[in-house]
Amino acid sequence: MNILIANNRNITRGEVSLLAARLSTKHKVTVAYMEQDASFKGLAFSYENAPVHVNQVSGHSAEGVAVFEFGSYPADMISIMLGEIMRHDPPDLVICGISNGVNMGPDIYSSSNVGMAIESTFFGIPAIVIATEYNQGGNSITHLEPVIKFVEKNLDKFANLELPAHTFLNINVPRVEKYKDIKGIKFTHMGKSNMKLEYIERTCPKGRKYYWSKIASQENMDKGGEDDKTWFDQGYISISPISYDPTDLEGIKSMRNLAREAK
Amino acid sequence: MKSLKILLTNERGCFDAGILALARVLSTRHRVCIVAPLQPNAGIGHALTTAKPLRAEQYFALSKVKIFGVNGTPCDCVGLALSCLLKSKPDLIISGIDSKHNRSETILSSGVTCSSILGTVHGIKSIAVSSDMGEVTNENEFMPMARAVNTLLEGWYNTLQKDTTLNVNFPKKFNLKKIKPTHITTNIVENTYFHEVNPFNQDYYWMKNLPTGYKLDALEDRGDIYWLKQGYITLTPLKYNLTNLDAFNVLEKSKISV
Repeated sequence: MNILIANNRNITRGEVSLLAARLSTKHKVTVAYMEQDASFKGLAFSYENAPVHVNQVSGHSAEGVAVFEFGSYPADMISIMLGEIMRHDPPDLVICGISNGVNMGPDIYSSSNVGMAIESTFFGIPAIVIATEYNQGGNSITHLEPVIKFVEKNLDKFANLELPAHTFLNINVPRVEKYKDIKGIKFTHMGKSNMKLEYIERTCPKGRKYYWSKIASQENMDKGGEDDKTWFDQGYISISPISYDPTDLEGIKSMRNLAREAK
Repeated sequence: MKSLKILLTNERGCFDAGILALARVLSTRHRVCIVAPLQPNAGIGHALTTAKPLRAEQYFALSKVKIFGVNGTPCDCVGLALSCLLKSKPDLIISGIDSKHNRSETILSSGVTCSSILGTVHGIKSIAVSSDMGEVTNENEFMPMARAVNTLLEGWYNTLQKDTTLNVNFPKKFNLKKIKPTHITTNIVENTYFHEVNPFNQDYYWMKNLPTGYKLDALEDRGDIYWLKQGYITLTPLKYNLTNLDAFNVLEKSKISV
């Protein structure tokens, strides 16, 4: 298979390297990553604001893996990889991740990995977002092996699923010591949480206020439900089919009544 | 209509003609506060600023309206307003008026639409308003549209369901009798880039501006693009949940396994 692995963080963080090295033993692998950490950028694009710089980087540890380094935004990266650089040799599957930090509920709107997957579906190419929570410190990354094993095992299926148009899989793998500790898989939906963007107010030495964003505060509103977070918290891999088309068809009906009344 | 507490934001900056005109008109009846980016943020979508701290500067350009300019994205502005800048929760968030349309599948990279969606995620009724004014030299050019928003607001506010964002686009010449609730046109985006090489022999790409990237069948779909071309104001309710329920059949048969 021809696989594009894309990550919104720098490859030197290791997770992409490990995945690429493993998959490249059997498949043709291309890696694209962001020069600077670009988390929480959603489907942002450079548009007219700035040009997108691209470097082909040599010297990846695994043989035969082509590596590209990007400036700007993750969605630009996918667009240029699929529309320009790999145009004549399109991948069978785009893997967005592995992300350290899961994407569930309304968080997915801002997730760069989700943005990259949406952009892949614009090109009609199957995509998965794969996220987990692992430790990273010094030279060792732990808890990544079960995730890689899961991807390896289901690679064919991810690439050949005949999902409805413009739909990708948002996958979260719980943090486990060993592969056999994963309880199972749940096909589930994007849950609802009372997500709150919170900001911490501080004062600089000159007395002016400034604010740090703090995103990780939320409570699951679907408790006892069947949503992604509920299953994930119980030790299951959550797989949600996500599509970018948010039109609320029911809502259109009530809007029609409103338009009629106005006449 | 009862008086509301309204938070205004946009993607083109807190002194853009569209937001100032809207603030002027709405503040005659409602309590309005602007929290918007200091710089234009076209195409920024749902992006959040996490790697640097944010500042919020207060400005005094309008007598009845508090204005905060933030060195961040439209979504940062909504988050910061709700978390720190506003004393109480607003009844409504309006993003706009943008001088370019935010329609079809480009909405998920629109700072205007995405900041409204973020408002909905926080449990607040939210509306994104865009137009096709292009380059505007004078705030007054936006006044007719701002007044139209003020007129239509009560109906929108009362009809808007929980968990739904309303995406509104005005054609250049609008008529309050021509309003069309419709879906977003999909399957039309083809992002393309100009490839160039800089003086240091490094590759870079410039995104070609839409709408050159639209495929030709955009009108056949009879969605927002079609009706805007026909001179209609389009209303598109956007649901918060992006799960594609039609995909579960395929997944159940997929044999994806641990």
